[in-house]
Amino acid sequence: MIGHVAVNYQINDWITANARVGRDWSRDHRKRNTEWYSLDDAGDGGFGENTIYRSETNADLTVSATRQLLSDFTLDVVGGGNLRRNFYETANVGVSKLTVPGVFSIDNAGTPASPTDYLSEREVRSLYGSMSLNYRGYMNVDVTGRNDWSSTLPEGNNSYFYPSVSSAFVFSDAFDLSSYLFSSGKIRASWTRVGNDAGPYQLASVYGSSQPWGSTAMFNVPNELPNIKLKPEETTAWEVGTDLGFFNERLGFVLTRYDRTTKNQILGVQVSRASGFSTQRLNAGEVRNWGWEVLMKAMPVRLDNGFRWNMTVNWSKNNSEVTELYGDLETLVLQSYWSLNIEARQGEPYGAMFANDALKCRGPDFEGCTKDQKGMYLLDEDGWLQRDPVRRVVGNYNPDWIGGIQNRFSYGPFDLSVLVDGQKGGDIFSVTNWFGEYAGVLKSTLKGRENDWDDPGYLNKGVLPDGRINGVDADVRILSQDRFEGNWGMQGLTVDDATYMKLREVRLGYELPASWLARFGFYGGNVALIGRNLLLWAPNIENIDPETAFDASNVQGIEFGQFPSARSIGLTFTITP
Amino acid sequence: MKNKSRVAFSALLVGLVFAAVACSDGLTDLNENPNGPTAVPVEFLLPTAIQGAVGNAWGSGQSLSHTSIWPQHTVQIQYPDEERGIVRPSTMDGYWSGYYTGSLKDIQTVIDIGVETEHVNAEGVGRIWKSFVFHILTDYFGDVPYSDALNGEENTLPVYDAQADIYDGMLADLTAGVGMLNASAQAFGGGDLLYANDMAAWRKFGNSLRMRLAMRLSEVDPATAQAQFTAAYNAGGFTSNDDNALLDYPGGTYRFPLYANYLGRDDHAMSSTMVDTLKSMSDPRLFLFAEPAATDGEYRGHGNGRQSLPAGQSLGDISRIGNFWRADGETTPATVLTYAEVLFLQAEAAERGWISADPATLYMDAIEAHMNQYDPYGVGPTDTEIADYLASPAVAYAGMNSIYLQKWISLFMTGPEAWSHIRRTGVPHLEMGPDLQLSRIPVRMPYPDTEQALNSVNLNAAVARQGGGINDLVTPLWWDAG
Repeated sequence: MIGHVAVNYQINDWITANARVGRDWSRDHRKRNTEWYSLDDAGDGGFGENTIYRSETNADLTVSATRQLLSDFTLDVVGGGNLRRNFYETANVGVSKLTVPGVFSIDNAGTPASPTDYLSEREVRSLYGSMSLNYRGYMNVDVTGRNDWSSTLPEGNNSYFYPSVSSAFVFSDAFDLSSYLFSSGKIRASWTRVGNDAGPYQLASVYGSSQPWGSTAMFNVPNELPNIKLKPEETTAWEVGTDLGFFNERLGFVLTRYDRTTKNQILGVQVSRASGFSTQRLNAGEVRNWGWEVLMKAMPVRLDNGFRWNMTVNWSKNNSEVTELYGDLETLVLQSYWSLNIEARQGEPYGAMFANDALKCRGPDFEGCTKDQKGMYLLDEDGWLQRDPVRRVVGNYNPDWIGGIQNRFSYGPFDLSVLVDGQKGGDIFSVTNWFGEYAGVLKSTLKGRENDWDDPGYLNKGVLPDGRINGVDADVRILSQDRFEGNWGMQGLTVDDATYMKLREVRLGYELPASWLARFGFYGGNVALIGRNLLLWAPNIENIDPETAFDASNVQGIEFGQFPSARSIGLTFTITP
Repeated sequence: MKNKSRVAFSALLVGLVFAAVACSDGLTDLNENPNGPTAVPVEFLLPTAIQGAVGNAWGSGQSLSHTSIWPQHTVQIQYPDEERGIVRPSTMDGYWSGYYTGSLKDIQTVIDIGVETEHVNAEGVGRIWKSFVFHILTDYFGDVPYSDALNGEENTLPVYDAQADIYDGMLADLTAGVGMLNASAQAFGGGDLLYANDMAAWRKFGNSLRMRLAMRLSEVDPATAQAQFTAAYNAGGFTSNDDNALLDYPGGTYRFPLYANYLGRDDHAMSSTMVDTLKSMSDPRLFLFAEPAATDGEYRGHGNGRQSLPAGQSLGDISRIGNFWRADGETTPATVLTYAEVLFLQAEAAERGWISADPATLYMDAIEAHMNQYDPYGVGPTDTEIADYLASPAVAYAGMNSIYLQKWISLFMTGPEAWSHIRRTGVPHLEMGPDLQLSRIPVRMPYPDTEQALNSVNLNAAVARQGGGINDLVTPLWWDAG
C-alpha cells in the first residue's frame, strides 16, 4: 500500500520547491497447516503461522531551478534532502502437534507452541544536488553529488559522498549528418560512484536463544563475528556507448561498454569454525565487472497494406574478476552446499565453484600420464575413477553471454510476437542429478546395465595406471552401480554446462474494433493468447531446468529439487476506458 | 497574506528536512539490535553447552552412523556408507562446526564470564565441561585447534595443537577446575542440567573424567597415565550409580536423540558382533540391548562392513536396537559418564599395579554396577539374573582381556567412548567386513573440507605431522598405539 502527501510551491517563474512525505508498506500473513497423519515425523499434525510487516517512509524536499543562459545554454539545477526509514517486523509461531485434528489454533497445541520474532530498522539521511547543462539540445553535461548518512554503519564511517558526471553528444545533429542511410548518431560517456551501507545490526551481536529446557532458558553465542569497523561499500563505474540509427530509424543499434569496480564489499565471510564462529562481517573484497551490451532494433519488413515485422535483439557479455580480498585471504566462501563451495577466489571470476572432482591428467607435472592425455581421467587398475584429494575450481556459474531475440509481426488488428532467449555457458551443480545418480534412479544410470544389472558394465574413459587408454586400448568395466554410487565424494562430476535456450513467450493478440468498443463507452481494448516457457533446449544437462537457481542472492549455480519454471498458457482481455 | 503563509510553510519544511539530515547525531542508536540481549548470566549458557555437546555426540548421526558402528555395537542396514568406510565430507563439516561454534564456544564464554565476574563455579565447571567436549573432538580427529581456538575476535586462523598437548591441557583444566569448585559460592540456578548445582558431584565427575583421560595414555605415555590416574583416583571419583553423569531428557522439545531418529527412520540395527557375544555368555543384557527379529522372534544381528544383507535374509530378520533407546526412549538419559566405567578403569589400573586394589573384585563390581544402572527405569536384568551371570564361568575374571571385553559391552549406547575403547585396547577382536573399502576399520575421522578451504596452512601442517600427510580414516591417533 502506498500513500503520500506532497506540496509544490512555485517560488518564482524559474524556481520550484517540492516537499513530499510518503509511506509504502505491506503486511503479509501466511499460515501453513499440516493435518494429522501427514508426512511429518509423528503424524500429529501442526501448523506454522507467519506475519511480516514492512514499511519504507520517505521525506523529500527538493528545490529546482531552470534557466536559459545566453541564448544556447539551458541550465537545470536541483538540490534537496531525503530521509528514508525502513522498518521490518516478523512474528512466527510454530505448533508441532494438534490435540484435536483439524483445529489449527494455538489453544489446540499438543506441545508448547514455539514463537519467534524479529524486527529491524534502518535510516538513511541524504543531501543531494545535480546540475544539468544543455547546449542547443544536442550536447548535454550532467553533474551530480550526494552525501548519505546511514544508521547501519559505525559513527565516523557512516557519512559517505558520491558524485557522478555524464555527458551525451548527438553528433548527427551537431554536424548535420542526418540522411536516409545514416539517420541519427549519439555518443555518451559517464563516470559514477555509488556508496552503499550495511544491513542493520552488523556491528555488534546479541545472544541467540533456543527453546527452554523445561523452565530453564537456553541462550547461545551467535555464529557470526560482528564488525565494529565496517565501512561503506563503494562502486565506481565508467561507461561509454553510442546510439546509431540507419535507414530512417528502421535499423538501430545501442552499444555500451562498461567497467564497474566494487570495493569494500560487505560480506559475511566464512572463517575456520575452530575460531568459534562460522562467519565474520567484513569489507571483504574488490570485484571488477566489465563487458558489453548490444541492443539492435530493426523493422525488416513494412508493407503498404500495414504488415509490419519488428525485431529486437539483445546480447550482453559480462566478465568478472575478484581483484583483491581482505588481508591474506585467497578466497571467500560465499555459500557451501553438499561440500561444493561457491567462492569469490582471488584472480578468478566471482562465483567460482570449488569442490572435489575425479582425478584428471593435469599439468604442469603430468603425473601418471602424458601431455597429450591432458584432461582425461586417471583411473585405477580396476577402471574406477579416483577422487582427487586436492579441491579445485570445477566451474563458474557466470555465463559467457546472455541474449534474446524478439520478433513481432502485426497486420491490421492482429499481432504475433515470439521471444526466444537463453545463455551460453555458465555451470550449474545439480544436486538433483548428483543424488539421482547416486541412488540410481535416473535414466543416465542405465548406462552400463543395458542388458542386466551387471552387464555390460560401465566403462570409464581414461588413462589406466599401465598407460593404456580405457575405451581405446583396453576395455576395463565396473558395475554401473559402483560408478554412480562413487560420485558421492566427487561433486565435480555433476557440475554441468548450463547453456540453454527457451521459447520464453509467444503472444497472439487481437485489437478489438474501436467502433464496437465505443458503444460501451470504451476507448480501446484487446484480447491475447499468451504462452510462457513453452520450450526448453538445454543440450548439456538433463532432468532439470538450468535456469532455476537455488537462491536469488549472490549464490547461484546450485540446483536441488527445484520446480522448473512453470509453463503457462492464458488468455488476457484488456480494455482502456 | 496567503502568499506569506505558503512561504512560511515551505521554509518550515526545508528547515525540518535539513535539520533532520544535517544532524546525524543519534542515528547510530537506531542500530542497537532489539532482538536479543548483549549479556546473559552463565546459568543460561551452561545448559546450552551441556545439551549441545551431548545432543551432538549422542545424536543419531555421530553415534549410529559412526561411533557405534565402528566398535561393532550396532550396524547400518540402510545406506551402509560409513559402515564401509565411506564418510560424507559435509557430515564432517557439521560435526566439527557443531562443537566449535556450539557447545565449545558457549562453554568458553561461561569460563570467560566466570573469570571476569569471579564466579568460581562457572570457571571450574566450565573448565571441566570444556575438557569433556574437547576429548570427544580430539578423539575423533586427532590434532585439532585447541590453544588458539574459540578466539575468533583475535584469530580466525587457529593453529592445530598436537594431541599430546591437548591431553596435557585437558588434564590440567580438569585438575584446576575441580580445585576451584566451591559448594558455598554462587552456582547456576536452573541451568545445571547434569548435577543441579551439586558441586561435590561435579568434583567427582571431574576426577572420573580425569581417570578416563589418563587411562587413554596407557599405551603411549604410561608414566603420565599412571601419575594422572592415581592423582584423580586419590581425589575421588564416582562411588555409586547415584553419581552417574546422565543427561535426563524432559521429553517434548528435548528428547533422547535416538528416539527422535526412531520416529522417522529405521536405518540401524544390532551388530552381530554384539548379539553373538552376549549370546555366547548368556548375558541377560541381550534382552535390553536388542529387540527380537520381527519375522521369527530370534535375536540376530547383522554383520558390519557389508553392502547388503545375506542372501535369503530380509530386514525383518534382524534385531533392532532395544526399545529403551528407541520406541520407549523419549526420556531415556544419555550416559555421559558412569560409575560402571569408573570401576572398569580402576580394575584396569589395579591390574596394571597403579593402585592397590583387587582387579577381580573391581571387575565384578563394575559389571554389577552396569547391570544395575537401568533399575530406575524398570528395565535391565533382575538381581537373580545378575547373580547367576556373575557366577557363570564365562564371566570369571581372567585378567585384562576380561576387563576390556566387559567394558566394551558396558559402553553400549555410549558411542564416542566405545570407539575410543576399541582403538586403545583392540578387545574384543573385530573382524573387518567384506565390503569395507579401507585397509582397516576407521580409527579417525577425516578433517572437514571447510578447514581445507579456510585454514589450509594450519590444517596441512597438522596432517603432515600425523603421518603420511594424507587426510584419511586409517592413520592412528597419537594415543592409539595400534
